[in-house]
Amino acid sequence: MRIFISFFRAFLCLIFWQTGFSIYAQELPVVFKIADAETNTPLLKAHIYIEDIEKNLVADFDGKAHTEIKAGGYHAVVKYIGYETKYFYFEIEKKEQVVEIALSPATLTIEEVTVNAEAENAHTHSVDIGSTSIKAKEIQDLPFLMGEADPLKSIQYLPGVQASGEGNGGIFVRGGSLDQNLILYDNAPIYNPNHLFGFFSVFNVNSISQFDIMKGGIPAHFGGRLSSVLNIKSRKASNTRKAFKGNVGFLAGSFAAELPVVKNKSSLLVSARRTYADLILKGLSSSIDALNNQPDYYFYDVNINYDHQLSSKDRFSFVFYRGKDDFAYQQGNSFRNTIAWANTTGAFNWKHAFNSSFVAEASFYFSDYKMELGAGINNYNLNLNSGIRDVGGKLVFSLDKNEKASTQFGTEIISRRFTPNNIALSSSDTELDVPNTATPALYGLEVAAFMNHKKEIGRFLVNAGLRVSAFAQLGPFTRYAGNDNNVLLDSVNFNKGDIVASYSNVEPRLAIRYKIDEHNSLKTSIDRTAQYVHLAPISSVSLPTDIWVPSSENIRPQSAWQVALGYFKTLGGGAWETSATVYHKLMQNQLEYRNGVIFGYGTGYNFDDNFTFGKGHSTGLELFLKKHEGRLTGWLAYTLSRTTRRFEEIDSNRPFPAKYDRLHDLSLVGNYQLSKKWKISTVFVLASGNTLTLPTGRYLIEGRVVNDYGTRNNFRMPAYHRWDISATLRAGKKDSYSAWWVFSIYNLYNRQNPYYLYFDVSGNAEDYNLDIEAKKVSLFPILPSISYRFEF
Amino acid sequence: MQRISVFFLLTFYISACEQTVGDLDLPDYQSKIVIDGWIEQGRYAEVTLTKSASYFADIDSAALREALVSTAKVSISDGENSEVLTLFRNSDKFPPFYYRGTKMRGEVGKSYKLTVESRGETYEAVTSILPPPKLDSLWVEIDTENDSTANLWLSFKDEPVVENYYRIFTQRQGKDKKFEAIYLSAIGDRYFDGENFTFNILRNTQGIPDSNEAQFSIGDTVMVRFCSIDQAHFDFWRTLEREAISIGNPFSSSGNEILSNTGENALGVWGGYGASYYRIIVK
Repeated sequence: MRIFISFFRAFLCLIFWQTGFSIYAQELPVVFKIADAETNTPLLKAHIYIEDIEKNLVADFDGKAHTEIKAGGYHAVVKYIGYETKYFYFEIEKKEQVVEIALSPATLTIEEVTVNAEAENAHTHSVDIGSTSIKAKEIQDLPFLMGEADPLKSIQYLPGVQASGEGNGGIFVRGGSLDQNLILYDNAPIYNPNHLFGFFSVFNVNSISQFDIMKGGIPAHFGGRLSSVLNIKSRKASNTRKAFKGNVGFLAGSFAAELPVVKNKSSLLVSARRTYADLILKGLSSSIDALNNQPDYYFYDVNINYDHQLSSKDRFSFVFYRGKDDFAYQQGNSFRNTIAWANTTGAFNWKHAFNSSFVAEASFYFSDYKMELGAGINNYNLNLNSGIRDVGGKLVFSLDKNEKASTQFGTEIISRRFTPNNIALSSSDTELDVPNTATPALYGLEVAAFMNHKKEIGRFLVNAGLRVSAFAQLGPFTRYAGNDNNVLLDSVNFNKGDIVASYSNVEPRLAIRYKIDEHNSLKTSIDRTAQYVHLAPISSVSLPTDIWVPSSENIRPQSAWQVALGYFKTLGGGAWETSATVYHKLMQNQLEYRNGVIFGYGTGYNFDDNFTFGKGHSTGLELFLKKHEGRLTGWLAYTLSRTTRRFEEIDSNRPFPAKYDRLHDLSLVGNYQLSKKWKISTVFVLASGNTLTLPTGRYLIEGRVVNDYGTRNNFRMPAYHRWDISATLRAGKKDSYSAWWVFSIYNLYNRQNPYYLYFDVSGNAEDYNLDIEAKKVSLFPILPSISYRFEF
Repeated sequence: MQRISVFFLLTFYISACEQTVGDLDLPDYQSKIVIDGWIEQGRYAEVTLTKSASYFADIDSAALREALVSTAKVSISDGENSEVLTLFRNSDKFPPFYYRGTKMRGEVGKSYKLTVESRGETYEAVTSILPPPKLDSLWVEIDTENDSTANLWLSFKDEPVVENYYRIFTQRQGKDKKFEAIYLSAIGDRYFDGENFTFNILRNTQGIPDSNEAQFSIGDTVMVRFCSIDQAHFDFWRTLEREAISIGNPFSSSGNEILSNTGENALGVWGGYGASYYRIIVK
């Protein structure tokens, strides 16, 4: 095994070069005045969205909004409930300009852009106790691995969210496992959001506008996963102007085109990304021998977003995503290894406004995730396919009674098809029959109805919701019954559409905000969540080999209760936000493989015979401090938490730490505007190490050294810490062409963070000479990169 | 197909650096008795007793001698007869002490209970001797890439319906002192029940057997010991061999524990073999 390591590492170190950048220039103060066209009454809290720079403003009590933007021409949208939305164009030439906007009252308006009201004290005013919203522009500045701006990575720097470690882009939210996060791209779920084992996520920053992560106080119209919802909204191209963006690095490049289709009505955004290092290496390997045994890897992804404003009452959009990763390694004729996975998703969303306070949104979506694994050694070959496909629809009605109360209600239905493990084995030319492990497809149907009511009562803002969800495993399906000696006794057949097993859950959700004063508030939330899909974890380190299985007769749905209480404060007139939150979460029906089960060689005839079930328990304190104004901005997030699991069949029902239990998790993110041209960003992370199950004793059998394991997850790896830095340089601007250079260094002081540990035994007991060493495998050393980004 | 599943586990390795770790917090360890015993048809029972040691304890001759158990009372019984095994000494191998029967020889179809009494504790295990399996054919294929080595192939027909488990050993005359288990020696018929199964015998070496070390040399005379074993016996070797390969592999699930059939307080195995012997000259 060790012989293959250095190849890939050399490959990585040699070719990784990429980053991203951002811009700054002289900005002039501007005042927008928004008033009623007929009465000239100022419209307080009106929303202004300046498209070109993606800036959100909210008018104050005088109907005025102040900001600073650089000289130039801009397109903007102004909205206010009860008034006709206005699109207008304005030009800024000098300081202290006043832009006056008059809005006409109307009965028909529509929300076409999700405007994020960053009012001065939104942080304390909103009832969001466990949500954070991040806009695409905010993450563009942060230094990431290879400088690739990555939404999923930026989320890992928030409190309560832990990265699963290098090599995997998954997240653990408040003690929940990897499968407990619902990742939505315009309502379509994404099952494996990783490219290159976590180097990049599948989200191309060019095609997203913002994302929200909800880890507590989850509104009732979201469900299906226990721990979090990551709601990513696609970016809509402008329907008046063309724009092109691109990013070039040594490893991969991306390009996006934004085109209006029908002026002022519809637009199309197409973006694509691909690695090209594989093509370069292939070309080189013909002349350089040493490159012949290199692993072969590529990924690509494509996003298509089409948005159409049919009328003032109707708007629809269509998004499509397709991405694939393909890794292959071959050594001579005797060893080969391949792994590939792909996500394909599409969503169609329609918004209809019956009137200004009653809006309906209908979504239809599909998501298809496939994973293929292949291994061959000498004459044995193994191929394994696994996948999950969802087709669903969601309907949400939003009713705004008045400023202080609003209601949402609706329903969702998802049809699922699982192909957990289809194994094809062959020994030389003989196809081997694997009847018990070639699981035929499994089908399920999940439905939910929800209602949410938000009301402001004095100092309290209450968001109460109820979600009722149900799941049925459907036929065609065969359930086998075997005896203790695994002899097949009987089988029961279910036809297509028959209900094999069914479950339902009531999920109440409550979030309350108590306003102490303008700058201080107390928030609490209680959530019950249920989950009917499960990721069966086969590796001690997460790799894209985990399989998705449905709830079934033997696998009951997962469920959780979470309670959180937080204190929120803003300081310095809104420049600083701070919060301290404690949470407590209890999870039921958590899944693990039974002891001694080899993937594909379980002891039962049914796909769900090899699991064992137990409880999970997590509690923690999250501290957060954020500065979002001034030359220096950034945040500090710290989580202190403990996550344990308890299974009857493991360690005699004694609690053991979860694999990802981490006592400390600290992230520090900073952005500093050095000058007009230069911006520096930095990230520092520090976390306790993950746990591992390692042997505690050894003994001899037939002269061989054998390991004796203690309790589950009995070892803790050394702490993880890393410092990244990046610098963005605004290159010259010519006409409408802008460019940036991004220089970044990942893992500045080259810490060899442990990916996992194992014990290496060498020598011979017979010669009274045994040497045992603890070895640690690390992934990413210091990785500098440069990339070039352009827009026109 | 455990063989193949294991190959699957060998799959890819993302990367990078490997370093020795200086200091790790090591939990305390309680030493346990280890029973390594077997009985075959027509042969006396043989049991080796040792003690397990903490993983990071020093290994030197003194420590290894501490691991020996030579004062236990070891007995077997088939329900009718019983015998106390005698302590023998064999300086050729480690450990140099072992217990062996002198009266009862194994018989096909019988169940044998092993009782070990040591330091005030009693340990028990049960196994059975199943009918020896039959090979269909055993042949040699010279390695096309290398003139001096060859691959040994084996084919047999599995008994349908009944769960069958096998274990295979080879001994090269003049080179191997005793029968050595092959690479992934424990095979279950889960994937070829009732069918012919053909595979390549690889000798057990350090690391992945894709080198010539795992093959046989031209001119070798090889004895093949092809055995039937029961399920508990199979589970032990299956989990032991899988664990030996999984170590260092991020793919392996946490449940690496080896399933002993010697009870809760003892490690190891007490296994019965129904053995068939074959001989082939590699040429």
